Amino acid sequence: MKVISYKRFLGALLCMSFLFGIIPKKIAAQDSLAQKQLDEVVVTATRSERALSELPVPVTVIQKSQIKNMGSLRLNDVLGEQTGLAIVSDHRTGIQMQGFSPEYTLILVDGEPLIGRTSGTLELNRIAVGNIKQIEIMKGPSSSLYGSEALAGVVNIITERPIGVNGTITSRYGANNTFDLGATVNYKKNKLGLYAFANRYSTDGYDLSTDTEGNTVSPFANYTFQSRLTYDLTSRTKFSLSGRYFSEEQESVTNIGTQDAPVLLEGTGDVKDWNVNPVLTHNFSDKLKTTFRFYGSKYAANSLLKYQQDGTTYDETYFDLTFNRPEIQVEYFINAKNSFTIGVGRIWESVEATRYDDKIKYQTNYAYTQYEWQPITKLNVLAGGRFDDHSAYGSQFSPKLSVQYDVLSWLAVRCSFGVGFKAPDFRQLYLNFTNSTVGYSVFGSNVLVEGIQQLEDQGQIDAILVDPSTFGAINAETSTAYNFGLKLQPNQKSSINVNFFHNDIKDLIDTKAVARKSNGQQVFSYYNVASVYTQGAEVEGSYSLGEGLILSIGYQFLIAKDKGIVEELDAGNVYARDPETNATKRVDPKDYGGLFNRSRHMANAKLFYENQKGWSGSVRAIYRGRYGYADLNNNTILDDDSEYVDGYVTCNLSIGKSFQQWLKVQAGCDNLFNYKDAQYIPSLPGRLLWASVTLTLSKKKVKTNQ
Amino acid sequence: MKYVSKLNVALFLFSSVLFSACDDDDETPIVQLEATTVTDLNSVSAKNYTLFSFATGATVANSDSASAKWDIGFRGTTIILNSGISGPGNAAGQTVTGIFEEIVEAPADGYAVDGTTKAIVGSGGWYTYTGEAPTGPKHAILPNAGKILILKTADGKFVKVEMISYYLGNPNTTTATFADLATRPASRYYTFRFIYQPDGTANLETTR
Repeated sequence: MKVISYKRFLGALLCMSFLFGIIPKKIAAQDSLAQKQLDEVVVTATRSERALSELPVPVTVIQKSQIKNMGSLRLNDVLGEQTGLAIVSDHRTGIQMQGFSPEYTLILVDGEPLIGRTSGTLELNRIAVGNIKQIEIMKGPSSSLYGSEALAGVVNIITERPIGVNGTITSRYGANNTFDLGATVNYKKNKLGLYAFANRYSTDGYDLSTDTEGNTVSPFANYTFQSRLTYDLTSRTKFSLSGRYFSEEQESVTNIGTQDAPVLLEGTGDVKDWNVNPVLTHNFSDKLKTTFRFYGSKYAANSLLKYQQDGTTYDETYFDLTFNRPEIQVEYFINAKNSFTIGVGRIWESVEATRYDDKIKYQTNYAYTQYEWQPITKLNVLAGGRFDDHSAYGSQFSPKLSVQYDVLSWLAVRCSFGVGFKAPDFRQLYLNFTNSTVGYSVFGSNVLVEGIQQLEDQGQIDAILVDPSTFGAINAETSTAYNFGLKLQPNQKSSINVNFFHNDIKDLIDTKAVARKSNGQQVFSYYNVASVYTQGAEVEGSYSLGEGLILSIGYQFLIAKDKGIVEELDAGNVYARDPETNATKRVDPKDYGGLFNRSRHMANAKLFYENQKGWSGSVRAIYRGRYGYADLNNNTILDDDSEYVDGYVTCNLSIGKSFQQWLKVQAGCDNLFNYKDAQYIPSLPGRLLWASVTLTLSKKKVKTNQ
Repeated sequence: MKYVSKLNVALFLFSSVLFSACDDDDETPIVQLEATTVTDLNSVSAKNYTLFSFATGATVANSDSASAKWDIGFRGTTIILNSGISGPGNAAGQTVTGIFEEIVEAPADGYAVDGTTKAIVGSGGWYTYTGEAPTGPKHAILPNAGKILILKTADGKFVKVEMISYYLGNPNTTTATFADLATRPASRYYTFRFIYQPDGTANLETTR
């Protein structure tokens, strides 16, 4: 199996070089890569606009043109093809970054966090990409700026700002009856600007295991509306108001009986989120800039399960989250070589849900500061820190220091040290949940003692396994990270980025069984357990082949291990059963595969093409190396070959043609070789063909590179 | 029911050597104890325990349940010892962590007799019940790796026991055939191996 995967990967590479070979060589070379990179401006690293080349921290930028070329619709489509990011499913679809689960990566839209995670994972399919200007990915802890959750890194989605007067309509239809319709309106005149985006996305889902009742992914439809209004009050004072509304409905059928005697449940679920974000910036002088921001967001999810036979209710749940945050940021540019930023803010969060006894509120006060220093031309220093004071579990200080030194005109060295944290979330402290179909219970650490008491009073406890009072309060999970990187630009056509990372994570929160219930199921709660580390290296190279062709290659090597298990293995205290004989053997420390769901090797190779006659296209091959799925020899760790999912390659193609300035047609194929694995990778549908049409209406000729 | 009881070669050797060494000093030669594997011991009955004697390596009739002829009993996942509320004998036991071959001496203390809780803990002790496991086989009884039972027989001799399988034919439990409840082999059939020390010492490696 593995051999085939590698072969496919090589095949895709061959396919790319073939494509390159047949392209006529008469189109003038476009912008060189070097120029392009100098042009790039990012905001994620400092919370202000900065030239990417001057930043001492690694930030990957995915431009709108690339997203359009790929024909992507949702955020997971885009992120799944990036170096070092893996799409993983845990209740929802999220990304794994530097070996961290999705709950440790902050997802921002224009610098403000999206809320509404399910078991820690924010569903990336909730985010349409039709209005995105660029996506900035910053790896390594960034709690020094963004506070909780920015432990692995930050994905910041920068949406379009009003430019010119124009409108677009895009429609795409593809396999599984997936239909996407989007429109944008752009208006900018004098002081007033408006950008509006509307999108409807619907799909029939798909079913990888047709012999069981219900779909692998049930049909759903969603709507996204996003808009931004800008108004320049004076030349020094600018106002911006943006907002988002998202709504999704999904229908499902599940079988809680057996194959022969089915008991079918019909489910309906809806998810809504909205946010509003007014921002006022005022420049007191060229040196002093202030920003006032407010961000308010709400997330609501409801689900209803009914018996198909008689329509009576089986289970009904609701989940409401709110998040409000005012913030003031002041930037002071002392001189060309020194600048200083300071910010303060307060966060109010609350949750009200079926799974919580009462409405629960958190409040966080925070302040951050940042100093950018250029002592000599070749040296850039970025130092910062943030203090968070949280009402439920205490306070946290997160420092960060990054340095870049330009050794030669084509070689820069950078390193950074940072601390990130993730506050215990609502469920880890307050959850009170009993699974209605299976019967196990989970309690947050703050409600565990009374929860167990309650079950005991009802006679539901068979045996206490661990004294609940020993669980105690849980701390924030923290990570200390070291990144060391090289930026090489051997010539105008090529660039190479290398980054070595090491993340040392403490107080990781896990679940443990507290008691056994009389129905045979267990009661779980959360506690700080593990010390884990992830480390590895990432290489990204890009080469302009000329004629509008750009080849990029990425690779990540990753090791992620539980330190406690490594110690136990070294002491010879870990055992396994030989699957063939079931005899016990001692596990060799060399056989420890580390944390589940982490691929040691991940790679991608992509070829993008664009010419001045309006043709564009891409061939992208994404390889995910084998990764641990589940313990099968009953020692809870990953150590046997049978416990791995085979590595695989997905190959995606797109081709497009623009006619004049107003029409673009595009078609593509995702997962060309139709790789499927119903048991282990249900999130991967088979081959998907699609086609789309975009109409652009503009008052004047739209300049593409403004 | 099928027994693959390797004859207790060690015992046989032991007696023959003893015979020939009569004239020598009290220097009795040391012989290695060999493990005996019991395959597919039936514990299907919902009513009666299947009783077993380590000294004979064979089952004992239920009519002898009130005697010290048996050491251990099996019914489903429940294991009883001939002591306390389960029988008239002096059996006792504990579960230790390690490799079967490497445990060369029985611990001096830590033994329990059967009470309302049994001396040999099942779930979380020698096995794990997978229940509605999101990954791997569901509703399976899987013996925990590295859990060894150290027992005293009804007449106080030491035995070490490793549970190997709870399913007919000692199947590979990592396969799709096992994961599928429709094709999974029948449960309640024990495969285990043991070493019985007849000389009354705590030595689990050799005997004189």
